[in-house]
Amino acid sequence: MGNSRLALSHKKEDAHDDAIWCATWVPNSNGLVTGSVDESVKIWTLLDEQVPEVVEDTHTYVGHTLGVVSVAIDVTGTYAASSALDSFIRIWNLQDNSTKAVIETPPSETWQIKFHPASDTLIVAAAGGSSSKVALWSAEDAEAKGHLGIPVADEKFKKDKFVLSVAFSPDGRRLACGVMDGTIAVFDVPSGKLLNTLTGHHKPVRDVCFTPDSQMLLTACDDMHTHLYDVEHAALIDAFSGHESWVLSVDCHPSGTAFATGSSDATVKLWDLQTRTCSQTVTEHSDQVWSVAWQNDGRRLASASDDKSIGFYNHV
Amino acid sequence: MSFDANGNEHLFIPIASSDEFVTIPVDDLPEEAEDLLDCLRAEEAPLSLWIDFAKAYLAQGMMKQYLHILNEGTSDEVASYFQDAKFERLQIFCALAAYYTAEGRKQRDRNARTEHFAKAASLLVLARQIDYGDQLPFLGLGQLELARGDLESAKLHFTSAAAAKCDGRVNIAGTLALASVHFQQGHYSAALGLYRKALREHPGAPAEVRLGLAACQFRLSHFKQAKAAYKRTLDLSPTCGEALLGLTVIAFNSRDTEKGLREGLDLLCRAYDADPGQPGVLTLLARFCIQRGDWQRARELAAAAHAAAESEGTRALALTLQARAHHAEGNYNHAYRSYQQASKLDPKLPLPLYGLAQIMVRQREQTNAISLLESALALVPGWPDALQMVGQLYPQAERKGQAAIDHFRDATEANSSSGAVWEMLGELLAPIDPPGSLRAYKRSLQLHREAAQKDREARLRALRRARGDNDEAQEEAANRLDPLPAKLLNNAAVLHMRGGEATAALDLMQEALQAAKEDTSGALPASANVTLGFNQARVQEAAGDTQAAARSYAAMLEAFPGYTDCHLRLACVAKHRGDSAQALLWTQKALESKPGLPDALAMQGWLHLEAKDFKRAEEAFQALIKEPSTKNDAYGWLGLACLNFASAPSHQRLKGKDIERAQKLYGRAMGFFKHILEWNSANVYAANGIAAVLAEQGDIEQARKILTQVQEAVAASEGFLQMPDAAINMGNLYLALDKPKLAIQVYSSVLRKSFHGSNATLLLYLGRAYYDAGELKNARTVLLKAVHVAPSDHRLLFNIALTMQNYAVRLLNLSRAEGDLSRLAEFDAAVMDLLQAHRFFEQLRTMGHNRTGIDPENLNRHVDFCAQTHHKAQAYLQQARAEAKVQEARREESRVRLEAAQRQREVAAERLRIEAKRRAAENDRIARETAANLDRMRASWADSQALQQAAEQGDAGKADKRRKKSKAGAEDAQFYVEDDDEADYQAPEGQESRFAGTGLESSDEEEHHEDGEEAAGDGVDASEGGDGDAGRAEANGGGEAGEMQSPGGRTGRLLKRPRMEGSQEQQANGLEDDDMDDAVPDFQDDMDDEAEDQGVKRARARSHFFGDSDEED
Repeated sequence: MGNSRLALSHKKEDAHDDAIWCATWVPNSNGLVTGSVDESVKIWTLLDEQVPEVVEDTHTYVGHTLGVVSVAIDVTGTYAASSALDSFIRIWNLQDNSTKAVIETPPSETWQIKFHPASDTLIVAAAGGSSSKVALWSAEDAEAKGHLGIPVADEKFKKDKFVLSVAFSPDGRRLACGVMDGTIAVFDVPSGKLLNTLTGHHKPVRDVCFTPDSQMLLTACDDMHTHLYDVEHAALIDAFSGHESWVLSVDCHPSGTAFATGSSDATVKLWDLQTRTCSQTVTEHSDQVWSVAWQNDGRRLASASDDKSIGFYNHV
Repeated sequence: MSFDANGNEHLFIPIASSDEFVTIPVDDLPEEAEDLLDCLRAEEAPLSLWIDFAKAYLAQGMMKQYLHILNEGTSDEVASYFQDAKFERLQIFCALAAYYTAEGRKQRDRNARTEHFAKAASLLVLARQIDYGDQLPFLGLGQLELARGDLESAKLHFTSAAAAKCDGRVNIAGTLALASVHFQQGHYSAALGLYRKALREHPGAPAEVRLGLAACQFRLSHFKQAKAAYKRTLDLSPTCGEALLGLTVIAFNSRDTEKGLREGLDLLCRAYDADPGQPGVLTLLARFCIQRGDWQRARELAAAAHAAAESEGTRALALTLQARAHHAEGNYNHAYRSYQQASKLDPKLPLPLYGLAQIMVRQREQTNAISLLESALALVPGWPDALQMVGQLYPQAERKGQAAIDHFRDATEANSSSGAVWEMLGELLAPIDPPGSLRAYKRSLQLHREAAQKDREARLRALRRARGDNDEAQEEAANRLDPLPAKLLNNAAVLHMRGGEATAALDLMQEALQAAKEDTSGALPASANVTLGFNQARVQEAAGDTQAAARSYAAMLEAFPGYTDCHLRLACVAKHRGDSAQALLWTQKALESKPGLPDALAMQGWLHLEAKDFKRAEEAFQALIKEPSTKNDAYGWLGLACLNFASAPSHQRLKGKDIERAQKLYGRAMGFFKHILEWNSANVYAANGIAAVLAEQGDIEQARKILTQVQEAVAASEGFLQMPDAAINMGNLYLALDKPKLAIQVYSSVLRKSFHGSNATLLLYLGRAYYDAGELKNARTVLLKAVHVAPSDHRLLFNIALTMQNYAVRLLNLSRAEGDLSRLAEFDAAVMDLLQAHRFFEQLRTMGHNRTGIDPENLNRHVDFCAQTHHKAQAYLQQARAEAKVQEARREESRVRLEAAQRQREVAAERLRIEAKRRAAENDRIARETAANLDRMRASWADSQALQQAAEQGDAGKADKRRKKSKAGAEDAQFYVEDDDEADYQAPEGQESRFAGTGLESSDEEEHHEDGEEAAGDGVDASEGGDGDAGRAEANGGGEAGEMQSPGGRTGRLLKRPRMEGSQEQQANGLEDDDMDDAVPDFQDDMDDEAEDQGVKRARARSHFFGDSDEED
């Protein structure tokens, strides 16, 4: 694992009409879902029985009226959710592409979204933007299921408490959200209580990601660093530097031994979590890399960029 | 001639008609030559005997007698008497000519010279008349030409001589003479060939031939052959000083220095023994003594060499050595004189110039020293010693302008292939021309690497030659490349970093550390490792690995707690990460360690400035410039200037006192900027500041000129100056000058080059530029990207809403060709955007002025406008539909008429109709698909309107207060403003944003003006009534929204209508044009962020300056 590398297997140029802002894999499949400022969400299917691999544009989901900020897929791979600058969360069925629910939130009050990984019903957590909270929604009927609020000392600083990113721990017990001012709030999901506030960053935290054991959290921050925190003890374990601009996206490999980051400096970096060093820098993109995502089995990584392209890499 | 028993030499005169001889000893020749001649004539002796006696006289130094015999020998009597002794007669003429040639050479007087040469020439002509084919006269003529200084003519004569025979026999004299001329001319190969020819023709040739051969080989750098030839010469003539000297020089230059030195010394002693007066030997000995530090003996030897020297070159050399001995002894006056004499004797000798330059430096006459060294360098381009010295002198002396350096650089670049020279050039250029320096270092690295490569190849070759089977360890050792000098690598790394090539810098630094580790020569001072360590951390930091860098800095601080550079770097790291508190802490620690440390003070000032703590910022800057040693610190003054600039009240709504205050602060800022420029006219930051102040004061043209210069300077720095501020300011100026297209170019390029595409403020500016250029669609996209980057920025939300609103209006108004199918989609998009804009405005209004800082009245107006426009759009659509219906009916009518009139077109018309139906069906489908969406949006619209009304009630108080304060020129209402209630320092803003403010205002004023007209003409715009009663405006807005509801349902049907008649539509639109186009497009710029960015930029620049100091090795 220590010598693992990313090898580009396919690059999809002009995958969207404009910058791609988010990407995520459909669990247990070769499907990737991407969202773009061009207001569309696309599903890509990777046909790996062919050599070289072929990537097909299998469906374009429309309905958002402004750029798509975040996409999420539930653990079964049945439903997709997308949130956009138009402040709607749309949930649709991946089987027949029919819209299941549309959740409307006030403008700029929805940012990154994630599905609850371990609940009986479909629950979507939405980073609450300017409302300084994480809202929980039922994806079945678009009903509000409460929210997890972060404390704001002074109304005047509420702007700095914009919640950008959200992540569930794989066991579903914890939820972390990254905030504009660089803090990260960790909640106990069952009780809805704020457990810890992780500090160390002082700039916007645009992405957060738990390690597979749910014990640690990785962050992507505008301060060009990724932090690794011990979630239960609210301790900063390590800080990773190397990107020359904002870190926009982070995703931990399912094995927990590596993680990938995407940055404004147009690079994707692969990091070794055991040696805590950068093991590779990929320079396939020509503009900001807004999203990096591992396939569930960890065999592949996808990167989505402002340059309208998607990179597919084999993890070898 | 023969010898008697006593070994004395005798000449014998055979007595005529007998076997007897008269014996005359050569050391006892008769005083009177005539007596001897009488005897010779009496005994009818052969002419050859005459010559023998003449030679004998010459050998005894009895010139008069010698000449007497020769003169007699040229008489007509002799010619007639010894008619057959042609060669002897010819010999006599030539000998006499040789005498005159030699005499002529000695003459100082030009006339006497010419006279002698003429005599010699006429004698030679006579000689040739005796025998045209003989060699001797040619040789004589050649010598004569040589004496006259005409080498080419001499060569011609010698060539003839080489081909001719001497008294019917082959003689190599001609060949040798020719070889000698070639040698003098520097044609060593040609000379060598001739010497070889001579040797072939006359294998037993004298030692001189061998010597010539050796000299040629030596000059051709064939040292092995030269050595052999010198040895052969010594075999023939064991005391030949020149041969010994040659061997000495070869020995001294041999690779095996120790052995060579021993051998050389031995040889030199032999040469000295053999010929103590040989100037070459003396010079060499003197030089050797200088090397040994034996100044006195060196001086004596050089003096002797000077006395014995035959040529001016040798004399100059001897004088130089004397001077060097004096110089070393500290006897500067003597040294100076000797150097000057030497330089006068041989102006092409570089050493005296160098010596003189050294003495000039001692006397603090840098300018003279520089010109002397430049002359020396002109003679020997790339001479390392001179380059190094001149390099050290340039920065000290008043610079003689770029020309001198350029000249020097060109000379070096054209002539040098030595890595060391390029390194020196790089070092020299580093403070004045960093890009040139970087280039020089790159070249130096390349040359060093090539040299190392060659060395390795040579080693490997030698190894393979030495032994058949290779010892692996040895092979491996030989195969390793020699490391480059650590100093070179370190300095090159620092320059790469400063030039923005961080990755290359990192590699070089790694190499430097490795090289330093392996370096056992002790050339690196002990402190070098600390410097290298620091630089490595610095380069890591620049390459993005701040964690590793921070660890190194911290470790170094453990070892050297007073290493404040580390404190400052750690402060920079913290600052970059947005942790200003930590950054301040580090600067504080630096100050504790070194009170008053200028860099730490400057940084504190900037940190406070960034945090808008103007008071403490000013304290820090003042403390900095109060120190006498740093009273002109550019950063201190720059800080003060920016402080004043930033604290001037914002331009947009100044009244009375504020205007005065702003002018006062701008004036102060200007004064500080100018102060910086007085000390350093090349400070682009100050120039940029001046441009900003000028623009702020309205002198746009002047500001543009200055900014252009600043940008040129930045471009010329090839990446060493990073100054996006200047470009951003330029973009803002273009906006102010109503050249949005240019502004777009500038912003796009800065965004890409300096901000990795991620900077909300710049995206906002870019959006504004697109907006001004009328490219609303691009403006919309760019602003959306800005919102994506900075979603919590209310101003962005406002602006994107505004853009969408206007874009929608534009789409609605766009004229289209008949039957254009894009129409429905665009209508749909337009209505969507209107709704979206409405939502954003709503949201902002709900948040309230306290959080957004946006004037609620303004928001009200937009909310209402969107609602109203939406309403009008619906109404208009309805109208258009009605008219289209009429149109369609009319068309149907005419179709029937046409059908009746023109039967032949029936089929075609029918087809048209079918086509129209098909399109209608398609449009129907599209409309159905979008209808659901629209309905939902409309429903939400109703909700939000209700919400809004509810919220409005809570907000009304605030809105009221606001209105009172801004006494309600509609102009003021146009702008939402920052809360400027803070008393002391007004809300600070970055330069650029302020600037953009200038541009914005003018255009906004205009827009507002139109807006006013619109309001007056139309009387619908709710905000127009804002002057009076907010409540009413709100009610009005609400009412409109209420109205919207009902037509909502109808619109769906309306939209379903296929194609409308273009002309009709336009007419209908014409009615509404005014309303829509003049929609309040005020555009707001965020200023806080900008100020922050400014700080970062300066911090970056700051770090470069720290980098400078790292460079010292």
